Amino acid sequence: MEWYGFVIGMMVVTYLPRLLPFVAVQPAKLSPRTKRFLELIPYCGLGALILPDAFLALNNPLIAGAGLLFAGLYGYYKGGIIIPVVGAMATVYLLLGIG
Amino acid sequence: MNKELDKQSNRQPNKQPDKQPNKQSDKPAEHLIQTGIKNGLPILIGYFPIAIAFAMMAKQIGLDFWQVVSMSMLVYAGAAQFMAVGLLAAGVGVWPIIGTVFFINIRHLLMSSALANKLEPLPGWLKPIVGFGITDESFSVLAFYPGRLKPSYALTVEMLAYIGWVSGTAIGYLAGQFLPSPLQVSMKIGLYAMFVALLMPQVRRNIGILFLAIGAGLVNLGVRSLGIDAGISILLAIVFCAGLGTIGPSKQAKEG
Repeated sequence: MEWYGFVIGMMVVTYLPRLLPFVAVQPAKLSPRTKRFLELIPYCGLGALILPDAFLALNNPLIAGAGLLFAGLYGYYKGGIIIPVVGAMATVYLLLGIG
Repeated sequence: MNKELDKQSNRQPNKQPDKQPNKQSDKPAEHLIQTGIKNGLPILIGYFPIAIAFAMMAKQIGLDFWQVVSMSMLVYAGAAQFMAVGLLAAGVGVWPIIGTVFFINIRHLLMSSALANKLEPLPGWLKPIVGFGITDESFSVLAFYPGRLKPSYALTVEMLAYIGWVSGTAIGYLAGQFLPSPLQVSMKIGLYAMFVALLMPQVRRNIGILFLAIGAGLVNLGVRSLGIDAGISILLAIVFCAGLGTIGPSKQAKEG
């Protein structure tokens, strides 16, 4: 039972930051600056999520980079998510087999 | 937009006049769910191997099946769960671990704010559910939905991600040791490939976004190299870069 108290404690501190912005009373109109800040969050977030961890995901940064390169090129020219993801995994799988 | 509305009104002529103000009728609901499945599936695929790795690690330190699965079901936070198990193994107490988990996940405050601002008005009881499903990955996918975010689309994406995380945990606990390890290793690139694939179409639209993203990545790298935890350094990187972006000439990245 003690375990579940611990899990619920972790749940509360994880859930609150996720929940609050949705239930907080929104100001009638956000200032243009605030709006812009919110709109830029996804781009900055992705950048910070990719660098540096993407290159550390495997023990080999070069092979990780090759997988990411596939995802990047395919995403740039064709878009979509599933093919870049599966293709990056396949690239890494093949290169690990060679290496 | 007008065309869509016309089509909509042709399809159900005067049948349910009080349903008209339903803003979600821009696109048919099944289409939203289909798109949600298409965009949520990569998260499911990406979460699966990570959840397996988490479950195997948790099993190794002697936690039982339900302890591990309940953590994935209720806490639902990748990095924080790894950290928690690592700290437990190191003999750290419950309260310091809860505090650490808080600091790792506080970055979602920013991500949720961005999404709440983008989300279409939705029934009050759905808000806690949409909020529960916010992770780095679901946020990244949802943030690039063109226009206002539709609740049914958001919930579909979030649900697939959740299924991937929880089922991956359960299967990893029960059968993780039977998975071939080269496959497991190569699957670890999945989520990062997804982040890159999400970013690229935006970069194609506006090259400035690439610099913004790389800038955030470099700030993250720099802060992290000071020995500061990833959860906090990602938060700082976002605040710094998005803040810098608001200082520059306004109304540039806004269009589109």
